[in-house]
Amino acid sequence: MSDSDRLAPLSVTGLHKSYGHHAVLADLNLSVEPGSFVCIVGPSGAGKTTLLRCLSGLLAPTSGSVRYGDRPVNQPLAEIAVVFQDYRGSLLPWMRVRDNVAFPLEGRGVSRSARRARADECLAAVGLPGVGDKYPWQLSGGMQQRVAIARGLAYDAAVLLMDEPFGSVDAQARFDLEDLVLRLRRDLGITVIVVTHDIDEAVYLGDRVIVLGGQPATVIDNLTVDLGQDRDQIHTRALPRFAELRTRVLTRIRGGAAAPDPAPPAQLDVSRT
Amino acid sequence: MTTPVQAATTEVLEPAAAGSKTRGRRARVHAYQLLCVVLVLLLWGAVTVSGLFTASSLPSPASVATEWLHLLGAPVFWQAVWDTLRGALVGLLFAGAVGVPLGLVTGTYAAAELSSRILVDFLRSFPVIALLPVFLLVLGSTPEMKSTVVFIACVFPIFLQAQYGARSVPPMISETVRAYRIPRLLRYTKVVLPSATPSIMTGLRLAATTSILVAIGVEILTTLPGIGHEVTQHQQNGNSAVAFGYIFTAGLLGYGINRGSMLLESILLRWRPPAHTV
Ligand SMILES: Nc1ncnc2c1ncn2[C@@H]1O[C@H](COP(=O)(O)OP(=O)(O)O)[C@@H](O)[C@H]1O
Ligand SMILES: [Mg+2]
Repeated sequence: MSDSDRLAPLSVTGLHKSYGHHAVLADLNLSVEPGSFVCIVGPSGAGKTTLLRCLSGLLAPTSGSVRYGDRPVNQPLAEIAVVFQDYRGSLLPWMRVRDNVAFPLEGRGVSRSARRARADECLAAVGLPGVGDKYPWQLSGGMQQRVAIARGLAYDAAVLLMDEPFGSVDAQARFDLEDLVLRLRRDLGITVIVVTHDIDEAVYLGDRVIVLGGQPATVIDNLTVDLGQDRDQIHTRALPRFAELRTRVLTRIRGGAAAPDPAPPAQLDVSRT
Repeated sequence: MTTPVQAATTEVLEPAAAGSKTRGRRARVHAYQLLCVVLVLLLWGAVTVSGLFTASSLPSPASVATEWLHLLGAPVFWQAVWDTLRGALVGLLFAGAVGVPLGLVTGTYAAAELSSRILVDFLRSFPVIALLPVFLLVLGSTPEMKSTVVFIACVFPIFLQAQYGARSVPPMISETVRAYRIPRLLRYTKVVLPSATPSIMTGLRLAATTSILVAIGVEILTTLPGIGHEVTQHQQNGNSAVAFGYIFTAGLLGYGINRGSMLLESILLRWRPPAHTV
């Protein structure tokens, strides 16, 4: 397959998704350019996981379409790797770490030695050399999430879709993981889409932040993060521009939730500064 | 049906931090277990001494022990043990070879499971021994017939446990497998089977005990050679001490098979965090 086929924009047109009578997403449109880092931010329960499952082809939209280049995404594609929110549940507990990372390659008929080499390479890339022979439960939460990321890398996809990937690890591990993903994007030129409820994280990571709001949810804002490619946990977060962007996102989310709905605003994690 | 232990990942636990405390406790447990055995033997001895039963209906523990040690030197004895064991194992192996794949596949398809449920529920509650005359008629009094009856008795617990295990693949894992486009065969061998292993092992243990039981039952009811046959023979000839020696051997076989499958289980489930090793 040529590179132009592999690297294509992921686009969503007029997406609606309902669970029975419960409409979760409505008339949602967005497009993600190859090589970009896009964060989709919205409060808990907004429908972020639902959107991500539609983007990955795991869930069929009620109406509307998801396309990768000119192909419809109506089943999981080889070009898209997913890292789930719940790393504990998504690693296979009976496989050693290396086998977990290499497992998707086994499905592609890659030889045993090539799988092994690739898995070790990807484990090294996420900062975990030498844990290949351990079982997942022997690693901390942050390390397990790194393994899940390594599995995504080993899959050699052009797009990495991540669902609140750093939500359940401690603050320090979280900063490290954020920087790891930024570095991987820069080194590998892959497209990264991160779904998160954390506004600071969205602004820190993204080239672009897409804000979901409303019920059913749709895109209520789409802003470019002009903070440059080189980000730094200490300095980037202290920039006046960072504060401006974060304030704008927060305002949009508050406004979007309060106007049509008199109920208490959806819970948001804005405690971190 | 025993509920299989669900494989769950837990937070990192200190492995083998147990140390000498548990070792002391285990030694005490062993002492109690031994005590129980001794008590039962004493009770048995007391009953035989009391003259409540004649020596030909209930021999003393000492005479049984002597006869049993004698038996260990007799080729007839080993031949009988082998006949029973072979009948049981052949039936059990076929039951596993049929029950496990069938259970795994039907377990992953809700429709297949639902449509087979009534039939399976009926068949598994069917008393196999009641079918013995039919098998005698169709297959004759052969070792193959013995294995067939064992197979029928064993296939359902294995099948049902495999089905149960296949259904309990965690949703997150199914989702991951789908997202990474794992082909079907690989999904069965590397995902469904390992995930169902704890449950399958429970079924196998159950079936292993049943297999010995049924093999001996068939030998008692027919003229097929084996432990069951020896028991009836010696009982009828008034050698009840020898008969009891064979009965004791049957118990040992059942116990040995159970321990063996527990060992196999712990080997197959090495991947589990130590919180699971009981
Ligand atoms: N499989 C499902 N069936 C029915 N309702 C669902 C299902 N998955 C999610 N929902 C509902 O859809 C809404 C959005 O859920 P989700 O996409 O998980 O939100 P988020 O990831 O933003 O927290 C929630 O109200 C949730 O209860
Ligand atoms: Mg979610």
